[in-house]
Amino acid sequence: METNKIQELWKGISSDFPAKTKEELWVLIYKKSKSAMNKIISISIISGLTNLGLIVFIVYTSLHRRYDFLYLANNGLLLLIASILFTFLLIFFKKIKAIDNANLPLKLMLSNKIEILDRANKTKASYFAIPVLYVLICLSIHVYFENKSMVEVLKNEESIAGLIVGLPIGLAVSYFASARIKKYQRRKLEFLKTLFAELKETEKH
Amino acid sequence: MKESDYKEQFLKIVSDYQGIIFKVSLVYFRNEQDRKDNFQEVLFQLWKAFPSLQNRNSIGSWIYAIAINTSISRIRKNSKIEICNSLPETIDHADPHCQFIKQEEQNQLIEAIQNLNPIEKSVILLYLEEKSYEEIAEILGITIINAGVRINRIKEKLKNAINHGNK
Repeated sequence: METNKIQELWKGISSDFPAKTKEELWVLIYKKSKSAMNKIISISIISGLTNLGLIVFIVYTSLHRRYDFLYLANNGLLLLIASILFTFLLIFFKKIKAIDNANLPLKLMLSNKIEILDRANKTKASYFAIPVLYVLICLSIHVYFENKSMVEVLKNEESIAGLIVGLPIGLAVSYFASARIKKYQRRKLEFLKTLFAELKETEKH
Repeated sequence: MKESDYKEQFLKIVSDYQGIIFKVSLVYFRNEQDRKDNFQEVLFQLWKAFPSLQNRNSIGSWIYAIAINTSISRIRKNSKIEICNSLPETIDHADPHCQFIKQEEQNQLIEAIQNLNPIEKSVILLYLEEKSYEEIAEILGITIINAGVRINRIKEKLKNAINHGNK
């Protein structure tokens, strides 16, 4: 088959398509904008409420345990790590938003996406932050509802047994969740790198 | 510019150039529902990027760039998108026999293009749409020479695939 024939066939395909009216096009844009907005709003509300809830809990419990130094230290560390993690997440999403621009040459768009995903994939912060955060939250809740000082709770055999059973289960679940996210990110990154390599390959010729 | 004029201007452009979005979706997605979803996503991305249109010389190139980038961002390796294969019905009032042969050939061409990798798809799509090598290079972010080399290679690949399918 000759090139002209291919082009002729293509013109046949491309001239026959079900065209939409302006109203139909606007309805599609409106629906998509609405669902995108809803997504942003629900993510903002969930993350905002989670953070607010954590801060309220930390402040409230700390005020009730003003004289338990160890408990205050635990809550302080919890607040510090959660704040750092939240700030990093905000910066990360801000960067993603800044580079998530379809109005760029394909090669540049791919390299931007690879760069940010590569950085996210390399960082091992979540592997350290998640277990530490989890242990601190568990301790904070457990100690508060035991109505004893932190030292007393840590000396109590029942509490220790409960923590020994409960913590590994919670840690396993959180590790499983973060490993799944990492796996998804890696697959996405691999795919983008393959596409980028394909574009770079042409430059050798 | 008033908001209604801005919207009207945008709708006029996408209404005139919607064929581009249709064709890009057709090349990248085999499943009808995926094509519809992609069509909507590209429209949304165009609406978001509309202010940047003033800096571009060609509306067609701007739409192609966004449609290709959006489609490539939506496809995933080993995704379910590749499973179903349904080609859109085209409208043709010619002789039924000729129409059947033409439809067969068109299906073969689409099938051959769909079997290319995502980068090759974008190159051949722009070529078949008679974009200049300069425009293809600009949209993909590669050099003009490379665009030319790649086009020749893909054309051969397509011819072989279609001829092989005819045997």
